[in-house]
Amino acid sequence: MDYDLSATESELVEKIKMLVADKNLPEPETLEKAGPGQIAPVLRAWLARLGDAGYLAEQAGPGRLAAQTELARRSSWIALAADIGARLLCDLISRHGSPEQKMFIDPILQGKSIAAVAASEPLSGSVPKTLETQARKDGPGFLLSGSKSTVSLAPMADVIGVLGRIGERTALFLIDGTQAGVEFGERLDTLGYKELCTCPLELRDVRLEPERVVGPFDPSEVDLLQELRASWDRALTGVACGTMRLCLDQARASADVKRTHAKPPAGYQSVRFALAEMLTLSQTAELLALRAAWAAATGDRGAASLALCAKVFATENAGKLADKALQIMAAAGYSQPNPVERAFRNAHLGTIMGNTSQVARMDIADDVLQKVGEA
Amino acid sequence: MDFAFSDEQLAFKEQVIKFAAREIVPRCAEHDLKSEFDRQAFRRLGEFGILGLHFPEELGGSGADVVTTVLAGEALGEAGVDGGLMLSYGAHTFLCADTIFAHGNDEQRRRYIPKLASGTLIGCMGLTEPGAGSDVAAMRTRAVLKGDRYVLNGSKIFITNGPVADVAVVYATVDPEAKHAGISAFIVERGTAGFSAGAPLHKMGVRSSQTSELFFDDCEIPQENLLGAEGGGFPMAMQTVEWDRSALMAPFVGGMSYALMKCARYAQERRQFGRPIAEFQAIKEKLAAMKIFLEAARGLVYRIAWCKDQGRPLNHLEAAVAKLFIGDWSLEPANAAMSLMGGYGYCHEYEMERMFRDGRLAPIGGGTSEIQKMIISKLM
Repeated sequence: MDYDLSATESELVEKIKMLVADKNLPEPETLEKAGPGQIAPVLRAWLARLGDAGYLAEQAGPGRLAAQTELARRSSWIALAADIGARLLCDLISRHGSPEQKMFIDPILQGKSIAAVAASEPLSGSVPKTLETQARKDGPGFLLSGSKSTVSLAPMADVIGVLGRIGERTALFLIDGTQAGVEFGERLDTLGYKELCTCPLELRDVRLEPERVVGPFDPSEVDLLQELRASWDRALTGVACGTMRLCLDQARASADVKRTHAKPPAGYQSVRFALAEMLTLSQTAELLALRAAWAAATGDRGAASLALCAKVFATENAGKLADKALQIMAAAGYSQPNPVERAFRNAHLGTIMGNTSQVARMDIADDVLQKVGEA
Repeated sequence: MDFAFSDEQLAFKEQVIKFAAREIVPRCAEHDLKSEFDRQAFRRLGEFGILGLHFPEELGGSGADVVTTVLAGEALGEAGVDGGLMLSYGAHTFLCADTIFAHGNDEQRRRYIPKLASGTLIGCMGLTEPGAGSDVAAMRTRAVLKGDRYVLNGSKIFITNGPVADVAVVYATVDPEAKHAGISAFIVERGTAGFSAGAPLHKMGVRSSQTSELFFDDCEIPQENLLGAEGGGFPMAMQTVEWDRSALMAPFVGGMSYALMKCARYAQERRQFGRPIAEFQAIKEKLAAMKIFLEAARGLVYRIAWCKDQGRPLNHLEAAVAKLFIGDWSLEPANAAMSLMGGYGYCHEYEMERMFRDGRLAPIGGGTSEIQKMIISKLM
């Protein structure tokens, strides 16, 4: 047993701390109203530095999670964008791709390539057999057609992993955003994470060489959608931990300096207690998330359920902390731009993406019921 | 990082669960309903080695590390041992015996620890007073050295094991003006002239533990019953916090685990509208709430235990976080468990009602949640 980060794990965390403090990197937090053309260079600069630091290639585990927390504390959308490529897409390719297909991974992990993943469809969420995006054979390759409803980073992506079907089997299709037949819909006006430029994606007979198709798989043996949700869960858990730290930082700073009725808010017990509750939830969430990351990395038998517990706890409490921070900051918290107002909006993605809080709770309970049944 | 328990620790935990389920748990309901201390069960805990787990073998213990000791507490809760007996065990082992072990001289250790470890003697700690709870410096119980004897005058309140204890570690001030620096710790034995315990208080929960006032009326004790140095009592009391936030919290965590399994079994057996209630999403949400709390709380407890094993000074911030979280955030899943079991949960005949009452102590005992928030906001 060891509750400390190892030397290697701490080293990565320190690298990220130094990186986020680097004034030479472009400011990532004023881009909500910018277009993909302005956002992409900022993201590329950050991804390149994260690649150089070894962050993108780092295996999942407590060290990676602790580093992600520090990154998200500075910028949650950069942390999420980094994971969409390095974790969501690369994990699928590395698990199921051929050795040749793994060439798609290197540029992403080196921070040289922006990646997106397209899964959700207008009429399909989480069940593979309902995916309507289909590829049909055409000579040596395939023609891919379908609609995806919400694809984050799509207009900026160099490579987009599209989940679809070949007949009854599921596959991951690696497309180039500039290919003929690829059309991006109008950018969605999302509540938060506007920097991710989420938009619909239309695919009309997009031609794919065989090496750009990972799979196909029998969905009863390989559930790509479930794997993707689990990756989202891990990404969102770490981001939520960073969001909590950010909210606590901001609330504390505000409580110490602002003056209300001749004393700062921190002079009032109710404000101090609110801060204490925020710290308690933040520390508890981080510890649970670290344990879940460790369990997943070591193949612990309770890892899947623990990951869901960590995801629900961290993402829901990130929203609560943002709410408390905003309350402490009062009008300043309610005004734009400020990081807490942004965190308040962004945090809601955490309980929606991957396994929603509701789905996660059902899975957690099913796991408990199964264990009782086995006992 | 590595959150794994060793194979030996896990095997020991299983042994404790089996032992407690076989020999302790069947007796709990009756003692709770009668508000009676279960001496036989307490003695069995001693014989099994639970009461002195972390003391060295030469003093009647097993030389276990802190994590293993805390694991045993979780195991007792997980087996279904009632909160009252767990509280008695905690007050005895960690607040009384461990204070003597950690701060006593060789003679004091030899005299008391083996008997406390075996359960031959029962221990308690007297700190809280009617006018001094978390505000220890306001303590009014006085100790005056007269010749070679200390004379104690004052009273203590809410003392777990008070009516049944053979040995008490009592905090009193030798110099009220010195505030914290005047507080000293003494060993007071049952039967000492001028020392008495009040009648057991009627409590909402943890009923099988006996709680009372302690009275000191010109109570004379030998000078050698001073623990450590005069004026050294406050740090001793603070050191019990390490145990309070780990070993004394672990049974709450284990208890939630027991409640979860009990609720899950009930949900599978109870049928409504033609199917087990476990198939309803509203029921699953309650099970999930309990499970999420359980996993979140577990790490906090073992972080403190592990740090103590490393010989690190207590991180008071982390300790308060653990106490606050387990105390305050346990109420919602406890309520969910009660609701899940419906009428059965509300009746004395079923354990959930007792667990609900017992668990309500978590945000109160050992420093209320409000005190924890004060500590956290001061240290953060």
